[in-house]
Amino acid sequence: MLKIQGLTKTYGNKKAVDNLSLHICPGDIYGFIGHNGAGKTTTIKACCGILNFDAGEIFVNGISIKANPLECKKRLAYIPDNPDIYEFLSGIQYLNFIADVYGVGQKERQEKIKHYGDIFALTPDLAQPVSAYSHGMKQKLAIISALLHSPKLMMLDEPFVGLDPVAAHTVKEIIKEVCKNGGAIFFSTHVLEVAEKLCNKIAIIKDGRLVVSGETATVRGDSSLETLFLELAGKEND
Amino acid sequence: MTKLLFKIQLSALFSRTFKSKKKGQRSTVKKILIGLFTLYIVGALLFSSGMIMHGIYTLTSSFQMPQAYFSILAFFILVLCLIGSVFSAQSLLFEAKDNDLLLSMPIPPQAILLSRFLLLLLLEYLFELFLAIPAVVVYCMNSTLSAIQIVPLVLALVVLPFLSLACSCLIGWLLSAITARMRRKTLFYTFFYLLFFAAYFYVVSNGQSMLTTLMQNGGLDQLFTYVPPAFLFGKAVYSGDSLSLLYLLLWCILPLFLVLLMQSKLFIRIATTKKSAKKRVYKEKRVKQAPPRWALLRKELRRFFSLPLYIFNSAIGIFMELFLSVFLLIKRDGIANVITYITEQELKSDQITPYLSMLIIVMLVFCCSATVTTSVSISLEGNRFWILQSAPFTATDVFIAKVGANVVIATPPLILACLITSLLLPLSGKEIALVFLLPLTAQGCFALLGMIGNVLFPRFDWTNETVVIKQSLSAFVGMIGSMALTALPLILYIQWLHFIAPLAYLLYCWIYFLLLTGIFLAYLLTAGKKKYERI
Repeated sequence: MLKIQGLTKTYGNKKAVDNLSLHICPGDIYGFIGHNGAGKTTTIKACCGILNFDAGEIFVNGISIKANPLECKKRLAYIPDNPDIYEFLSGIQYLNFIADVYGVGQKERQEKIKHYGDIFALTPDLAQPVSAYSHGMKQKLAIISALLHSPKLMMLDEPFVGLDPVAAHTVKEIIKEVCKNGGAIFFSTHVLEVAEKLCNKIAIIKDGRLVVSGETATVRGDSSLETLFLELAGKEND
Repeated sequence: MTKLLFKIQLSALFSRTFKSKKKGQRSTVKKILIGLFTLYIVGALLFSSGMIMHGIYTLTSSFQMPQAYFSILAFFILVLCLIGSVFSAQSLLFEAKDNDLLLSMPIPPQAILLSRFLLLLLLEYLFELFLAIPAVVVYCMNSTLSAIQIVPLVLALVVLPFLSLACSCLIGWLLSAITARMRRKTLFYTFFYLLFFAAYFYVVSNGQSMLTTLMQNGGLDQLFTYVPPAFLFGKAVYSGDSLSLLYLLLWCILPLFLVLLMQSKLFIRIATTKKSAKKRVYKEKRVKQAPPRWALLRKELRRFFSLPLYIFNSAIGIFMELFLSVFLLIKRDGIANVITYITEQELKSDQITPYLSMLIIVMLVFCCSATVTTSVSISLEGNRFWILQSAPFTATDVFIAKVGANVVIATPPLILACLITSLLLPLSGKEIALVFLLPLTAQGCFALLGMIGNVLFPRFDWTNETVVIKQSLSAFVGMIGSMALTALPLILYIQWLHFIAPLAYLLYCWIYFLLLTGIFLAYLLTAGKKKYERI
């Protein structure tokens, strides 16, 4: 589904991502964990075609993001950590805009907007301008917009920030549903408990380099993810 | 604390101009470019103000009312400062986005308010200098500024903006209160701006004759009884009258003090009141699927019409075209009389009217150069740029939508103005064709230039649209570049090429804009695309 080979991205003298390689298969819920500034967002943005990278390759369903970015973008959905959305549009106008961009048919988009709008309890507010939305409402709107075109790959940057517990639970259920239908999720998070419970695979990045990756149970071993993470942080400090 | 807050706001203002978010300090070349553009604008504004004040001086001297020169100067300063700062006062004082952060810190609300007042006062002094410096120079060139006049002049110039600041703050507060729960704020601001624009044009076009009439009828003194500070300013500076100066100081300082006192007491309530219009009820409706490019264009148009600042800064030309159309319609009898006079004098109308049509077409092209929405269109994406970046759009798709929006916005009023021009003047078929072709081609050319400017100089680190629409380098490039491209053939014609027949001149101008359009389009679709993809 997503193959990252030797991804390297440099900002000036600093290597934000250094020779990172990962393989996400259909059905994977892949957690991406790292400290602040480790390179998580850079990796995710490079995979979505938002950032150019200096070396390596990224393939989405076998299609190179460098050679054919449009085809890759049609197959994936991205939700940033801070979902700034056009404030001059209403919620429904934004959803229709995204649906038009991805060529979602009229009947399909109506059904999906109704379905996801109801489960996120956002339907009554869809006529409001986005400028009137709280952070959590914008997050929900961004998630709904990402689901409209039934993407095979979802790239989420800290998706649970700002969500109430009910919405967070709903997002987890949606993630499981996407993977059950043959899709894959790649998301970064600081909430290790969520990663432990939800993800079947984990990758830990530190200062741009992949430290460990694989099945969650294998990566975790006998301890918890938190213990492992702190151990890795402690090793660096040593 | 006030000093610290003021310093931070000032450094934020200058860092936006001289620093780039991505690369830190702007390159030396860019800094020099910005400096040169700034010097050009400053020079042009000072020169125009000087011309106006020279006219005023001539008028007041001819009526032997030298004091009136300073009174009129004071009146202009008050009006300019008021108009220039009222919307800034509204957004800075009542709609600032850092209120929550500052109020959560151990900073007295009065200090927050005072630091913003100081920034607004700085802005007012800048406006004042654009009038005061040329006015003083003109006066010194024609008369002598004595020692007893200099001190009152300097003091009066220092305190005069206090009054306009007090008025700006009050009006800004009223505007904020009125629009707080309005759903259609854009409509309200558009109407407000249009009123101001109409008044401004009326005064500019009739100002000279209005002043002359007032002076002839002795009405000027009467006028200034309604604007006492202007009258007092004139008396204090011209005569060195201390009592007038004292009254002027009171007139200016007292209102500001009262406004500051009132707003410092109400500041927390004003800053923290949640403002929202009545909730709209969502009703599920059938929506027709649109192609991606059309969806993007529609989004661009929605953004344009949601921002009054965007409309009145980047598309002021459409209002100029509408006013020109109305002016031509109102004055059509006058134009008909001119043509009748020409034919009665047995001057060949086919020798004169082409110059008339040339003049109107040149004016239309100048109006087009003031409608360049593309120059800030990428920057306005701001933190939302990820939506375009992550969506399956090519750079070409984005360019088509943004340039297309500019064209869609600019074309209807332009066609109306062209239609009225071609109906009013006795033009040949070729002239009518050029009346439409030349401005429309020029408009497309300017839209492409604006797009190139914004691709080269995007700016995403803004918290307020005012910054990007009014202060960004790309806005500057779009505006100045378009005007320069318009002025170039005109200057060439006036200086060296006036022997060319008007029709031929217009035809060459059309070819000139066609060529430029081709060049800009080629650049945008090649190097421009690569530049966009690297943003």
